[in-house]
Amino acid sequence: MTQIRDRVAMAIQGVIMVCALTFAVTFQKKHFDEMDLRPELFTQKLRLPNSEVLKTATLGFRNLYVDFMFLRAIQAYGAGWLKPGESREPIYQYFSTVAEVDPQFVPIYRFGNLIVSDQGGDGERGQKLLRQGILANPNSWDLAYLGIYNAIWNMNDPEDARWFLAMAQKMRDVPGYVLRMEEYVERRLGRYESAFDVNVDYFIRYQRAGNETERMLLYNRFYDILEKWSLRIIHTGIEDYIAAEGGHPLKMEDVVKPEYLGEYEMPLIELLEKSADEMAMSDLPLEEAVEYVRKNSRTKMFGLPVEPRGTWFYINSDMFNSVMAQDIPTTATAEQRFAYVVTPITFFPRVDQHTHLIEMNYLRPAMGPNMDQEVPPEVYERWLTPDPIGGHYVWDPSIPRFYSTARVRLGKGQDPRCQITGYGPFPLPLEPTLLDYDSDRAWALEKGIYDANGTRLIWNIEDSMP
Amino acid sequence: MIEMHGLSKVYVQDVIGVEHGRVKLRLLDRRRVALQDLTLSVEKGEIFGLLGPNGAGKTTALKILMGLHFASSGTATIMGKPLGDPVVKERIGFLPENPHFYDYLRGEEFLEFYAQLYGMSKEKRRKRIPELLDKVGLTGSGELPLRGYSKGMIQRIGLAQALLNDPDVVFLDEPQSGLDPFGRKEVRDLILALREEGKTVFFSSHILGDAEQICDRVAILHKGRPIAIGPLSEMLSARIKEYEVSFTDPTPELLAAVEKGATRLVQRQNEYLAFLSDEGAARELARELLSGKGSLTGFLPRKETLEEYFIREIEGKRQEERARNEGVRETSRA
Amino acid sequence: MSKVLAIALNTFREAVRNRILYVLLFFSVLILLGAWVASTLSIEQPERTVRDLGVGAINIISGLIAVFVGIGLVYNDLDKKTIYTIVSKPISRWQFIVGKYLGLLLTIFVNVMIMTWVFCVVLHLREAFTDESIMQALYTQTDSGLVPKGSGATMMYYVTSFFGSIFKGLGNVLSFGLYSTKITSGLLFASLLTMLEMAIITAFAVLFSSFSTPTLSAFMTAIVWIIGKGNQDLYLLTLSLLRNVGGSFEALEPSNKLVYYFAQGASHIAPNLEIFNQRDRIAMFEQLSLDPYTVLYGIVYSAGVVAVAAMIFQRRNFK
Repeated sequence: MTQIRDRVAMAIQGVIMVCALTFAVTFQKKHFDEMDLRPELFTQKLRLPNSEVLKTATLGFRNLYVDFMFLRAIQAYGAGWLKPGESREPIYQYFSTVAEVDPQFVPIYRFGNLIVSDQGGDGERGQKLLRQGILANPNSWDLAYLGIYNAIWNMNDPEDARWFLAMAQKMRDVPGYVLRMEEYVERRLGRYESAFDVNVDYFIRYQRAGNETERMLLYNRFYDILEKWSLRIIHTGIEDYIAAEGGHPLKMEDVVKPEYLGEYEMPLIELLEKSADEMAMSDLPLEEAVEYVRKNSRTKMFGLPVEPRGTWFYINSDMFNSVMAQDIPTTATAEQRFAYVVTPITFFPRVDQHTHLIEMNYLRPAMGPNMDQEVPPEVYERWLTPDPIGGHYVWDPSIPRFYSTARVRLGKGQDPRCQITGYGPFPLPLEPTLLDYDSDRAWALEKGIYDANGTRLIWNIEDSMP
Repeated sequence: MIEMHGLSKVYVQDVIGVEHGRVKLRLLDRRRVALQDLTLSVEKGEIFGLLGPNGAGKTTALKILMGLHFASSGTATIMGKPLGDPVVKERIGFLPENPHFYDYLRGEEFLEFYAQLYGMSKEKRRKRIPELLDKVGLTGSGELPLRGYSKGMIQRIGLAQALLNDPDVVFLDEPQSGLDPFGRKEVRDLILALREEGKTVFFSSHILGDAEQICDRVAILHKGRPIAIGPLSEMLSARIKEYEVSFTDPTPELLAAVEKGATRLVQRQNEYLAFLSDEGAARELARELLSGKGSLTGFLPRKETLEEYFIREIEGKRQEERARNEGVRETSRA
Repeated sequence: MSKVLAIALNTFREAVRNRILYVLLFFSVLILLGAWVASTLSIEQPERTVRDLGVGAINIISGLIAVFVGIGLVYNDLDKKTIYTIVSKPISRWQFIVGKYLGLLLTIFVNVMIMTWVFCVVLHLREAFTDESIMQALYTQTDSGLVPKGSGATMMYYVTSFFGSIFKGLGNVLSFGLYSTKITSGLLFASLLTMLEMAIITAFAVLFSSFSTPTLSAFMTAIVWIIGKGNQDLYLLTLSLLRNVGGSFEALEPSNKLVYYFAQGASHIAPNLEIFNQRDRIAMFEQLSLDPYTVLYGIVYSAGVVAVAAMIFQRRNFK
């Protein structure tokens, strides 16, 4: 009798247990299903308490905690926690707070900046993180470099870049390329003088150190600086012209007058090289050598500034028309308003009609051409192929390829307008046309682009296409 | 060797505790008197027994002597020096009741460890430990961990550690508890042997029969109070308490007479055992049996045993107590 | 003195039989291996992650050992009454307590050294399995590129790197850090600092064990440990409390005043375990330094706590 009673009791207990379990599981399932799983919740998980509290709570295992939070951030990044359009403030706060717990852990700032600024597009907060990192780690030049990079490329704020640069200059073991950003910052700030001077410093250092590769790299910088420097002078002249005449100049010759382009002092590449060579022979101390080169690279000039790469500045009519058509406001930069001031070298690749013609008129379905050689000369001969800088394209079977006559002339320095300066008169009109050289003019007349009087007949080159 | 004057120990009990299997709440009277006013002395070379029922305070007294407890009042000295004196501790040995030792140690390791606590040099240790194992009959078990020892073996190794330093005074708390009759005899023999060696033995026990056999002097405790202290011979009256006469096949008349006259008659199968308090009556019975009224198998005059004395005294004390309690109740009722 | 040593060695023997010791050691090995795994997840500075985790794990586990083995130490003697025959020997009560303490400390020391050794082995193994090392060991550079050296070489490499790591780690530990490569630099030092920290915690464990049940002792020792680790931050919290009200004590709310007093008191009296924490420097491979005052603080504080334990023990009645 008692056995049966016992068994019944056990059975009842078992039933109760199963019912309870089922109920619990069902309830939980319902709860989870109804739970709010909006992604904002994940953002809420980013909210950390005050870093002071965190420091105390981690009981001396601070760097362990920071390691974990860092790993967590990496994994969350992999899982995609950035949604476009959302504020980056929570993520910034997350990194900032974790960094406060262990300020010497530099990767936090780097990674945070990567997420917030590069991926998240919030340059300002990225800079805040980097600044926090630099202030805690006075020798973290990598953070300073990122700051300079951010400031220039993402934020377009050269002043901010100056701050990071100033910090970098005080740091230990800073590699050269970080410090050389100074020259770039100066350039972006429009301070070509100091940019040039800074570059000379490095130039002489590398020369003394026998560091040829670096020295050659710096040449490009010099070209860029001097080009912008010259352009600034020209732009100032154009401003004066507009103020006086009321409209834009149609030709460079209009601006190259004493009242618009006065006297100024500028370095020239040949002078730079000459004085650098002199200093290579001497045993003056570094600072004095640099000073010497700086002084002796400069010379007094007037009129049309020299183009450092060996060509010259002019106003291109087509560019002029397009700039005028855009109706650029006067608050825009000079580069935008006076974009019609070009050099043959900068202009040539921008408007290379040659490739354009081939692409437009000789493309075989899915096949090309990929190279000039693939266009048969007899097909080619029928097209009108002027180049953008006053020459035309000719087929050279010995290579074999097409070449631009004007380009060749420029390359060999055979154009009398190369490195031209002063007020004129100039041997040829500053804007190169097909009429400048006999061979080009003959070809133009043959193709009917110009007539014998020098009037342009064909404006649209595509009209010549069969 | 051992002197105690007015030794007392009072415990303050917890507010909530367990007594006699019941939970008790003590709010007012939380003092528990474990020992009260114990005064005695033990001479050199004596075997002294501290006797009494369980809870009488024997273990408390021993613990105080060994420095495990601190007396609430009173003084005590061992070999003339105060309790806890390390010089004293070097000359004494102690075996607690139901001893617990580190059971992960092997027998030899265990003795080695304790010997180090005595500050024995390595050579002495090396000599003494096998000696001792031999003495307590554990030669061969030195390699076993204490975990594997039987209760008897534990008791023996306990004795071994108590005798490690060849002490002048040996303290044993209930040395025979849990032992079989053989074990108890061995302990008795050992204690006697110790006396032969000139040592003083102070032990507590509630097995009065054994104590009677070996003690020179005893103290009997009851609920913390000493009710008798002195040499056994003085305490037990020498007079013969009763006579035990055992016989078989009695005649019916003799049997009836014995039933009437004896204090007690016990029958087991066909053997009878009669207890008579009067010597004359006993002798009469013997003569009757010898003359053919039955068959005499034994005649034993018996003195009062310690146990009987003990029970008598305790019972007396209990009656006193009851009377006192009644009186209290009477007066409160009145 | 030799009596203290006898008790200490016996305590060591006792502690070594405690099963929880091996459980904790096992977990420490798991965690140290886990540190290796975690470092592979870290895109920057995996070195720092593995060192951080390893040193932190050794610190925490040794603390757990101190607590779990220490709480039963004296209590078991009292509870199981094994103390009776010990105290009746010519050994003073303070010698007993000090012996127990030293025995426990020895146990922890051995365990910390074992964990450090395991950690060194893990680090060496990790280095042996980096791409560069494997490249160097298993491929030869020929004119036509890298050529694998064959499966025998692989087997050999695994075996040699495994045993090599074991012995390098052993050498590091036994030489007390004198023989250490870059990857294991500073670890022995960290372990010795941990030992100083444990000296104090162990003292507390013994103290609480001498008058309280194991559960309560564990609880109290854990609290002491937490306060000890958060000590400096606690003090800094009080300073920031003041800072928030502009520096004047009167401007605090009454509840904050209480917090201030309590925090000030606690941070001064409670042991400061932070001074033994140079884990951030270890992670960054920076130079470690030891102020002799720090060592003195550790020794004196633990001696003080042990003295208190001895005093309490002196007056105890053993049931």
